[in-house]
Amino acid sequence: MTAAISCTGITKGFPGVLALDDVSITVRPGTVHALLGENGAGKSTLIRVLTGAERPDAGTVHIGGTQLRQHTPAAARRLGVRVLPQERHIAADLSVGHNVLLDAVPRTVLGTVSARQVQRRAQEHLDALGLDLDAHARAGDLTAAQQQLVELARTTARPAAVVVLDEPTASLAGDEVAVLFRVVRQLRDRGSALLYISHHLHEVFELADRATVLRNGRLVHETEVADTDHDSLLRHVFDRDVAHTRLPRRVLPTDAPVVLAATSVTLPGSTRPVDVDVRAGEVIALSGPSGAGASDLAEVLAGVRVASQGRVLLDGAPLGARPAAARAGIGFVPSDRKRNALLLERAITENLLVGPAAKDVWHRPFASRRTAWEALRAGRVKADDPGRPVRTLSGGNQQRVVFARWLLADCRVLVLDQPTAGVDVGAKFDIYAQLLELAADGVAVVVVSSDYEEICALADRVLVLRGGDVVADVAGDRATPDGLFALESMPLETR
Amino acid sequence: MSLTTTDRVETGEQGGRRTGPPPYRLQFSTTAALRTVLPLVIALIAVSLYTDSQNPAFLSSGNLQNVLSQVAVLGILVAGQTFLLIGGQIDLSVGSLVSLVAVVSAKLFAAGYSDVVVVAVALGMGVGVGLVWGLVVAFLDVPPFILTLGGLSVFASLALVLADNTPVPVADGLDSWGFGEWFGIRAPVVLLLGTLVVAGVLLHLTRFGRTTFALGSSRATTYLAGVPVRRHIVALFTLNSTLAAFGGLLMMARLASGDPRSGAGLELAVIAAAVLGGAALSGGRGTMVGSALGVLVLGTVTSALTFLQVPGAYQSLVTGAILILAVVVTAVAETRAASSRGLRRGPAARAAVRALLPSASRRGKPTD
Repeated sequence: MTAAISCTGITKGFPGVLALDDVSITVRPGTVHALLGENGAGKSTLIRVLTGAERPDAGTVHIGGTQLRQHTPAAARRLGVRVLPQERHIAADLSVGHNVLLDAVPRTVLGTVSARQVQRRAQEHLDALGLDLDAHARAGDLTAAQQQLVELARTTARPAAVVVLDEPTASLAGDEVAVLFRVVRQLRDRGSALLYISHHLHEVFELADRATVLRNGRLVHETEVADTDHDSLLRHVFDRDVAHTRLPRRVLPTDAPVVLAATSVTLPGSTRPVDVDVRAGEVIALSGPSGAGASDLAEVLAGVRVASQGRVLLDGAPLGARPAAARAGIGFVPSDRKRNALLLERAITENLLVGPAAKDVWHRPFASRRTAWEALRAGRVKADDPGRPVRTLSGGNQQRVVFARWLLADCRVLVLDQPTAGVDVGAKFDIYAQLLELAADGVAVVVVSSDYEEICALADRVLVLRGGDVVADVAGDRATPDGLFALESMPLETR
Repeated sequence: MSLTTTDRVETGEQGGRRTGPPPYRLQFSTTAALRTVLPLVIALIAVSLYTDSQNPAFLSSGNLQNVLSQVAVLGILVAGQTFLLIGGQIDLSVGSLVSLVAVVSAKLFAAGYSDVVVVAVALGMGVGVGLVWGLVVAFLDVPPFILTLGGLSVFASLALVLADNTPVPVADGLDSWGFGEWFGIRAPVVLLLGTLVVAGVLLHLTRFGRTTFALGSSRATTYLAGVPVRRHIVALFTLNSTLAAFGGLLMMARLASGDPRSGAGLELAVIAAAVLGGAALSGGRGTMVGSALGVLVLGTVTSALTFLQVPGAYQSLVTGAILILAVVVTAVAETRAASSRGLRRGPAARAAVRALLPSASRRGKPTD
């Protein structure tokens, strides 16, 4: 039997990182193949190569026996590859029916689109999948989970040889997960090959026939699910030898004052209030899968988002909106560096001296340049000329420019969302060291991260979030990658 | 290829052990601005020399002042619009506001009010209009294009209604602005140059100006970095409308009447001049020097056509063609620059594009 999709010897590098190193994988028709690995292990890159979104540096991709020559999503689609992406892509103002048949609109003889036919066919398809959705409803009015099911229906609207599901349960609740699993089994029984990426081992054991584990861009384990168990897979996901390296730090004085305190803050998707105290010199990590509320909590602490309930106090005074919070000394490093943290087309100097970091009403080009140069030295940014555009720097150096901005602004609290995303391994540890130095100087650091090793290396305290609730508060020296993984991946019902 | 850059810097660090910043080099955005400005200067010189060879009166100091006073109002409006464009905003109502302010001021003079009162009322109108635009754009997220397009119609109509369709004559109000000479230079020229210099300093040498660039480059980044973005937008619109009101006063003074049609179409000339000078409608780019040169090119070409006795009907054809040529040439140059950059840092550039457009590259065309 030919493989539905296979790749051999895939290697793919990005500046400073080898994302995939000689990876080969084969998925047979009528099976569910799970792809496991930590964040940054290379799962997403592999998926992007398999679906044509990325051209590999070396190696070949075969879909249904045909080699993928043009590495474009359109070429992969023609060969029958469908992807259910992690983020939502819904045309909010169209009906559910139109969204389901967005890429397969039925035409009349004249070539026009018959709205009635769209609704009828879409409804048939939704019913066949067993989804309780009305094709006439406006897609934007649905909940995030329902929208995801609409996308699932779109993915399967036309017969697909290969369906890729990228962490499909991240934003689904219990019942909807059951619906998803039913659809997955239905697809498998009809002969589609499914590639299932998940964080949750129990899902793998429930659904998958085969499992592949990636670590640091290399395929480290491949097995029939029937031949393995939970612990064995977990051991392959985490390499214990390097996993648990906690960086040395100054002991936090017991009388360190609370700088930033959130009381009874309610996060989206939850009704339970959350309390967080951040002390000077403390590194708190917020851990949790995407959509669990870790980023939301960080944004509340930084004044970016106002909590619907509860309040945030900085030194006992209520925290204002973002500009006021920044002036009061709360630095914020957003996760989407290129879009939200940098002025990509402007010079490094301009990227440093924006907001409270620009203290002088006048802009003196020479003085600014000297200030910027000194800030780059202090922030250990490797850049010889602060007049260069910031986009020419590597990811790690760009991130350090953002840090340097907040150092110039004399911040006392630094809130970071995924600070090392897209940063190569060496630079990561430099950034950790820098954050710990800041903490030693009395800056309170709040880090949102989905990288367990990062959390274990950095944190004095770890808060684990699920669905907008804090489900665990772990002391930093007791946190381990697999422990955190277990806390995050336990089914919601057993909480 | 960004790896090589890092390597080079690292070795420099180990070997050099510098104690101070490296020697001053022009910032890349300054050199980019020079690339826009230089062709304008060349065009300016070429047009002037050619016209002068046909009609030697062209390059006289008298005609230079003529050209400058003719574009004085335009230039003052461009100074304000440059801030807005760099900040990623736009105001189409400036031309009509000029007409309205001119009419209102003329009426006030006719009613016997003093210079001080008239100037205060006119500038007050500008501040008021700017506050309204700014507050609505900043707090209700109304697209400024549509909002000020409405304002364009409203003000134009108000001016016609107030003036009863005919210019309101002015006896001697603000006479010195229109026809006086200060320091041996005609008053409108002094006002124009003064405005441009102050605006240039504000844009390029203050935190306010730098924040405007940041806002136009990325509103999200600027906000998260702690800039009160909404307040800044209100300030930009207020500054612009106040300058437009100032332009209205000067227009009235120069024409010695409140003509309700005097500002018609100015808004487009303003944007043309700013874009010609390198300002980007998408925000984050532009210089005051460039905008001033844009104004000068438009003024010089108009004057040259008169000197060359080209029929008036051809004037907007020529200025329009210059604008089209300028933006197309700039776009071609930038595409070339980007692709040659892409060749050197292919993977990094493509990765950046992909990071910005994860959905597009992941899903392919949703319609095929």
